[in-house]
Amino acid sequence: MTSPALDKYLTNPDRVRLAEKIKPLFALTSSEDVSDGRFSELAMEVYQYQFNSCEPFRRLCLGLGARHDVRDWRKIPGVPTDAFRHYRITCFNPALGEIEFHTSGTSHGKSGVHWIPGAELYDGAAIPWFALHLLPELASSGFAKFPIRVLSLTASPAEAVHSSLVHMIRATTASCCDPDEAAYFIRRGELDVAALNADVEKSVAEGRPVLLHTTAFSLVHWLEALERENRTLNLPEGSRMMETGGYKGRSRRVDKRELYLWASRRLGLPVRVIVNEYGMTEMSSQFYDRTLREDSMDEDEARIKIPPPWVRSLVIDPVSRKPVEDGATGVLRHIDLANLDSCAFILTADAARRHGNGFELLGRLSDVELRGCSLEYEDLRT
Amino acid sequence: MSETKSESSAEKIGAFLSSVPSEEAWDPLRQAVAFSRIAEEASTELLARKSELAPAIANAHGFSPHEAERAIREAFEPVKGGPLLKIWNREVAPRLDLTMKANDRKHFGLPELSVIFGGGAIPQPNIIAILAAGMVSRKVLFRPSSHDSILGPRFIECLAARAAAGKSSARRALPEILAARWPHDDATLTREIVAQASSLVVFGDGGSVEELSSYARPECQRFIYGPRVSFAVLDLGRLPSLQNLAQYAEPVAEDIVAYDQRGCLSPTTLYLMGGDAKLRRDFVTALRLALIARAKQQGFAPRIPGSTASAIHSLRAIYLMDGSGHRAVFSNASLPGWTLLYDETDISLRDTPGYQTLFVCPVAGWPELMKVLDAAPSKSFALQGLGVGPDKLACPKEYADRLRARGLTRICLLGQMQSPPLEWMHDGNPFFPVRLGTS
Repeated sequence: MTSPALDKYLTNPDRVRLAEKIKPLFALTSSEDVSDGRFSELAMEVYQYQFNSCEPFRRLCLGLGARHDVRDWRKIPGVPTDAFRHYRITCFNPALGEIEFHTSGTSHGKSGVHWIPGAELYDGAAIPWFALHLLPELASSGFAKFPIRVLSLTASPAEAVHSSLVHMIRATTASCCDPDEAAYFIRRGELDVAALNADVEKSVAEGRPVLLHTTAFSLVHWLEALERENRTLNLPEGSRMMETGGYKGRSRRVDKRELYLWASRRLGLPVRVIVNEYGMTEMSSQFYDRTLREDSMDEDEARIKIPPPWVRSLVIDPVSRKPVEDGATGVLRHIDLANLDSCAFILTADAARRHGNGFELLGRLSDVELRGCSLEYEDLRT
Repeated sequence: MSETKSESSAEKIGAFLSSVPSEEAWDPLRQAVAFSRIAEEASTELLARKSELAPAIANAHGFSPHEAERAIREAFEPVKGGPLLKIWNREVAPRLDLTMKANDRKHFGLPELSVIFGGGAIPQPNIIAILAAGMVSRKVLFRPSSHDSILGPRFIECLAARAAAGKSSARRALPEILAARWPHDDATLTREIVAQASSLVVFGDGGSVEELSSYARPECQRFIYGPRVSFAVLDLGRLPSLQNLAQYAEPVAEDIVAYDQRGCLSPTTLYLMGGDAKLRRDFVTALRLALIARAKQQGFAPRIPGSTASAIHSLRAIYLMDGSGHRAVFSNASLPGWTLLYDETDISLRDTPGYQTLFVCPVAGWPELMKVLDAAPSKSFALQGLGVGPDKLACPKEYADRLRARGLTRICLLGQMQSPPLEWMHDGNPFFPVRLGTS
């Protein structure tokens, strides 16, 4: 039950018209399904809507010389993710919003907040794209729900009410799997390894595949615990893993390739079913490795992330802000149309190498203000 | 100084560590005199090659050509005129019994082996560490950082050449010095090297310092140079005249521009005391004009790290997005360039990405500023320098004492922040890497 004021926002004709144009894109499976012309048209409409509705964004645009009639979506300024710590980046009164996602704590102690009025666009974008990359058999299996147990090395939705990751896990589980069988193993901030091992062993005994959701640092903790006990778990065939995020200073850093090989050895999972997810609190859409979705592809090629059809990602030169050549590295800018109610134009602090319309994620730019994705040592100036 | 190389394998490092310097014709005074002489000669030679070295320094450090020349000048100019020996005579000699026989040298309490892990954006502190270690240690191993692979090794090459050209008796008095890099992740070699050090000099962050320190023997003396923040205070209420604000803006601009604001003595925040809102804005305008003039005259670093550029863009964007009227951003039209972030809402002590990015904040007076500084986490915001203006009285003695007690190592006039005296106690460390009173 939404409030009358929120209803008024959600039924605003401009917003309704745009939402109705964006939502059909969520059913598409390839960015090639949306022509550049169509994307450009939508991006420009969203820009004009947000220019008029989101005051901090408007000030940024005007400050950088971009007016409401910018003609090329590539020239629309991106809001730095750090701005979400300072301003309410929304097109509506955030007090009316039903959902607020918080970034993880930083050394500065102030979290960023991404307000969204409701789950309609967020879930609408997240669920099918997730299913396509983690449960690609779902579409052809004839199942309404995929028969797999979801075990999450995260806090539960009740414990992590402001986590966009946990929200996404809950929403995809509810939509694609059996939520009653899902379990969450971060309890009061600690990974409950004993409970996790017990649940996994139960699935192994029953021969029921599991879908593991984990952050990199939780996975390292788990693997270290298995290593100490010299235990190997042979997960049933059909099991898979979604791995996301950095280490946040909570575990030792392990190279991703090495981490996946380690997980593969300890858990009996083929490396190709370990799928990296790249997402951020400030966006409504996510990116995935295509190792599971495109079974036969070369693994290196399949770890190049291709944006969903309603997103365009640019790898730009951090100094000139111009898109880099194919194969060159730079910083990521995303245009996420599912961010209709906040800001679709996001400038990240994530480094990437451009591969056509996709990118290879390289990690965080090292001495950018710490935001919580990867609490590395700051670059020191002496 | 029998062996000096800019490149070395583990075998060469092993040979260096196991070599035993000659004690013939050696005593601490003889070493200090001989080393001081060749250090001056080597410094003079590198100063003469300033124009030739500057492009490589600019490229390696990401400085503008102007600042690259400054880096060379300020590393070696202070060595001219015999100051090393003067400092040695003042700080070391009185604590040594120079009547001891040469073969008693172990009893002098001076380091047998000083190991220096270089670091930081500015070459000068690394050069000073080599100079100071060379004056008192029998062997010095210098590991240049990846940012500073030129000046330190080049200096050591020059020292070696000068030493080789000298008389044999002088040569025997000189320390052995080796500049060598080895893979960062070769923990075995690092451990082996550090375990032999009697004096350990590290420029680095908390993690690397902790790791290196753990390899050292308990009696090894440690000299740590870590992250520090400097700030500036201009008391507008003490300006003798408001007619020409440019003359007060100019020294601030000098401090920001020096080394492209990448030193630990570069101010990150300028606090404006006194005056009203209009005067503060007028001063920021004057500072902006001073920076524009310098940018035209001196240029800017051609190669700015992407992560720094990204951080500056982000800061500029955040200030542009503010609608309160209490924040403003003034900047060059595009990167690279200077950035002034005027902020009345957040006056906390903050670090900036450097490259001439400065927070300018009003503060009511010293009591308020002390509260602001006290609120800054001391681990992340260890204080280094304070530049004050328009005169030194802008920082009353009571507050200067309190700041020193909080770890501040230097108070000077604005415009001189990046030109500390040679014997400045960088990070509170003594000039020479030896604590004679406690050894």
